[in-house]
This record gives sequence, structure tokens and C-alpha cells, in this order.
Amino acid sequence: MTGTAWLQFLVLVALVVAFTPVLGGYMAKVYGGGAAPGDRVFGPVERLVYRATGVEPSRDQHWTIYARSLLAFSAVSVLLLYLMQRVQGSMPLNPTDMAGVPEPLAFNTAVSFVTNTNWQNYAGEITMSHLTQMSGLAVQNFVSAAVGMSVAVALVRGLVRRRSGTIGNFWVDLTRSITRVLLPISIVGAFVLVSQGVIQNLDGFTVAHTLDGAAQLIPGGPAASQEVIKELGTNGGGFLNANSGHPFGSPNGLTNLFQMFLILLIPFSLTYTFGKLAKDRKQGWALFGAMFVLWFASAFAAQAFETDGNPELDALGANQDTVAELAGGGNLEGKEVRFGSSASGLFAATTTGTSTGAVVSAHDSFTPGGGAVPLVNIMLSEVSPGGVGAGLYGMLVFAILSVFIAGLMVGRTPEYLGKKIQASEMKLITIYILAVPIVVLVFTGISVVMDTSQASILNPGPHGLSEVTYAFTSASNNNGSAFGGLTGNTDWYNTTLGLSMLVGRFVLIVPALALAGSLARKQTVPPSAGTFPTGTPLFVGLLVGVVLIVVGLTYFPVLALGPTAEHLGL
Amino acid sequence: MGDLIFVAVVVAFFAVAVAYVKGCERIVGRDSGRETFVGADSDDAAGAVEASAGATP
Repeated sequence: MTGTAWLQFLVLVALVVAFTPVLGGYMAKVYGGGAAPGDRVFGPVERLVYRATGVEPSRDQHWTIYARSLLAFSAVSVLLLYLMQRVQGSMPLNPTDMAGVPEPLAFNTAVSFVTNTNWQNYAGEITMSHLTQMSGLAVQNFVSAAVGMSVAVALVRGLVRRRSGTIGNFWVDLTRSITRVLLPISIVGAFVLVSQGVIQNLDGFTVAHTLDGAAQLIPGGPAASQEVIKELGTNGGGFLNANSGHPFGSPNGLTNLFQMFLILLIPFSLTYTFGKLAKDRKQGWALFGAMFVLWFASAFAAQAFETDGNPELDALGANQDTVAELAGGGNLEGKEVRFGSSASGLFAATTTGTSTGAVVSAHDSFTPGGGAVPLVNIMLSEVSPGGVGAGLYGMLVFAILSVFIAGLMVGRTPEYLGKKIQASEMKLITIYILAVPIVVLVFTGISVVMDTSQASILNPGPHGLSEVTYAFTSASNNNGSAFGGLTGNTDWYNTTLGLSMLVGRFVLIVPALALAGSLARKQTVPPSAGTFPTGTPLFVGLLVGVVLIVVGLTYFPVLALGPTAEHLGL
Repeated sequence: MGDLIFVAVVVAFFAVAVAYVKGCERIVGRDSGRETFVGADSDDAAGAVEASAGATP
């Protein structure tokens, strides 16, 4: 790694560490139930929303009502977004005359954006009208992120409330997440991006003539407003097909750094929110520590693999150290030279450690080791630091599993934040942990043996297996990044990836909310000499170990046959 | 026809998800309910909580 690469890495770390308590403390007030900064500004807007929708904000919900409200909201969101895509050809704000989106693709895209996955089997600039982008996809970027934040906050309430059967009000959490967190940061962030050259207009294509006389279509559109929430909400769906690798979406190194900061901001900050609401900041910092260790290690590994370059190119006599010195050398295949191999590796680890899925480079062109980093990151259930909200509730599930394992070791009933962890909680956690691997491995297995799905695999051997595994892993974990090398816009992949996204989102959210409901009803027990402390470095180490072991045991065979076999074959 | 199929798939998935909530409720309702609210079932527990609506975080 070059000095510049290290500097960028450390600046990003410093920004994240500095802003975590600031935003985390603010969000604790937003979700804490008392007075919060900005009440005078946001209060009237929220009251208007509650009045228009018939919501009684002071009435908290039982977890089953919370879950049904969330499911109903998501179902309506999928159907509306599906309809919007199908009829976009006869709607306004369509300067490029986009036709209605075909049914399988409209289904895949609607599910994708509602589940915060943002897997894209289409190129935005030649498929979606501006109306669909602005009032369909961008709106879902906000609300799907807010849904994740709501679930996380509900689970935190479950942990901190005593003898209570309610975990908050879904509609209030949803509204406040949007009005008080996502919208204000997005507005400021969009101006930052526009100042650096990200486009924001309502134009269609501009025809440019190249030096040899060819006509080139230059896309226009409201990119900045979508780019900012794409990263902040860990959505990842690009306005443009090249995503954050397109100069209109991220023109320079500063915007690249800013976008990585936006991706990490809320997931890390929510750990501080958790600590504040639990009235024990060590608990929040412990989760932060575990997330940080996983993210830092993966970011370092991805950069190291990519800056080392491709040994097969060395064997052919190519000097990867001196080529494109400004880009840091290394493996530059499939990368933007304005970012280089190191920043591309850092972005890949950041976007897959969260549930973002935005890309600045082709993960398919990474070295086998570098390509394994995003794949493993997503397989970790995205808790490093994970998606907006999804990262926190995922890590809390692993934390409870960790104290359960620790309890087995010392022969005591496990406790977390004074709540006894019993059979019902462990059943819910088992469902939570097994649901996604089952979907990933079953659909991957079917896809590599069926003729029709095999035809979509563009590379033979271990790399092809990695491509298919990555697709289902990305969809099921609601990441949305594509490895590449797989033709996903087919009926099989549109449908099965869509179903994977639905399962990966809602089959996990329901037990997470049930866990919240179960824990909220319990009385806390005072800590004793046998209580395993969960705010210490030892617990951070245990938590990281549990995350890695659970993933290692689940996915080892497919990782051995995919990226490991390919790496050993170099 | 394609529209009908995909709308049906979405509606069916969320209908199953609502049944899944019921299934998880049965898991939650067994031991923790008995322990926390001695002599009360989960509905009573939920009712007890309505009174504490708006309580802290």
C-alpha cells in the first residue's frame, strides 16, 4: 500500500470514530422518547404526517403489531413500485422515452429496493424514467433504510425495557428516521456531491460527437440526490449503470472518500445509540469494537491483495508496480484509474461490510483473494458494520448467541444486559442464523446444475461458482453488489434472486422483532459474580470469534470450491 | 398474465410472512411469558404493556 492509500484509510477511520458519538448521541435522543434537538422544526411536519395517516404517536405497539405494520407497509411498497415501473412509459418526467419495465425485471427491482438490497439487473440510464428514479427508487432508498433503523431501535428497546410488552411504534420510528436523520444528512450531502461535480438536473441524453465522428449519448438526471441516500441508507442502487465508478456519480478521490464515510456513518453510530439507550456506553463501544475489527481487517486485506497485483500478469512480464503510478499500481483490471487499486479495495470492503452494494470497480476482476473479501464480508451477515439498522440488530443477535455460548462454557444461564437468555430466544436466533444460508446454498446448488441457469455463467470452473454464490449471497443478505460475470436478467435469476431478497429481509426481521418482544417482557436480574461482562475487550474477541466461526462452518465448502481453489490454481 | 403472477407471488409471500409472525409468537409465548407474568398469558402481558405506552426508550 502506498502512503496515499494509508492516509486515505486513516482519514476514513478518524472520520468514523469522530462522528460515531456525535450522530449516535443525537439518534439516542431521536429514539429515546423525550425531547430531541430539532423538535420545533421536525415536530410540526411529523404531526402532519401522523394526522394524515391516522397514527397515534403516543401509543406503543406489541411486537406482533409492530411486525405486521412493517410487513403491510413493505407489501404495499413492493406493489406500488412494481406498478410505477410497469406504467412509466405513459407517465411524465420521461425525457428519454423509457418504455414500461418487463414484468420479471420490475418484480426483481421492486423487491430489491424495498428490501434495501438494490440488486440491479438493469442499467439505470437506459431503463428507468426520471419519475421512477425520483419518486420510486429514491423514495425506497429512504424508507427501506428507515425500516432497518426502526427494527434495530425496536430490538434495543426490547433489551432495555423491563416487564413491558411493547417495543415502540413502527410508524413513529419510520417517520422520525426519515425526517430527523436521513433527510437532513442527505440534503447536506447532496450539496457536497454537487459541489464536486456530481450531476443534478432533469435532462435526458445529450448527444456528443467524438473526434472520429461517432455520436455518443451523455446521460443526465438527478444523480446527486440519489447518490447521497444510496450511500447513507446503505442501499447501493446506482442512478447510472457504472454506479459510483461513473464520473457523474463520483468524480474524484474526495467524493469517493465522502461516499465511504456516508456508508459507514449510521451503522457505526447506531452502536453508540445502543450504548446510550442502554445507559451503559461500554456496551455500545463493545459492539463498535467488534464491527470495527471485522471491517478494518477486511479493508486492509482487500487493499493488500489488490495492490500486490495479479501474479499471472507478473509471469507475463508486466510490471504492475510502475504502471499507472498515480493509481498506485497493483491489479488495475476493472478499476477506475482515478481511484486506483487501493481505494477500490477499500470501497469494496466498505460497501460489502455494510449492505450497500455500491461499487467503484468490477469485483469480478479482483484477484481471488481480493474477490473473496467482499464475498466473505457479505456472508458474515453484514455486521461489519452492516446495513443501516440491519447491522446493529444482526450484531445484537450474534452478541446474544455469544453470551449463550459463554454461558454453556461456565454452566450458567446466560444473560445479556441483565436479561436471561432462554429457550425461546435461542430458537428465534437459530431461525435468524439459518434462514439465509439455506436460501443461498440451495439456490446456488440448483443454479450450477440446471442447464438454463448455467448458460448465464460467463466463466467456467471455480470462478463461475464464485459468481453464482456471490449473486445469491448478495441478494439474500440484502447487499446488492454484483460480482459480475453472470447474466442476471433472466427469468430464473430475476425470480429466484427476488425471492432470496424477500426471505433475507423479512424472514430475519420477524424473529428479530420477536426477540425484542420476548426480551422486553422480562425483568432484569442484577449482575453477579458469574455474570459474563459484555462491555470488555474479551467479549469483543468472543463476539468476533463467534461471527467468524458461524460463517466459517456454514460456508466453508463453497468458499473452498470457489475462491480458495481459484487462488491455489494461480 | 405476467403481472398477475408476480402480484400473486408478492401477496402470497407477505401472507406467509404474517403467518410466520404467528409462528414466532408461539415460540415467544411459551417460557418467557410464563416466567415473567406468572399466572398470565401473553395477551394479558400485552395488555399490561398498553398502560406503559410512551414509556422510555
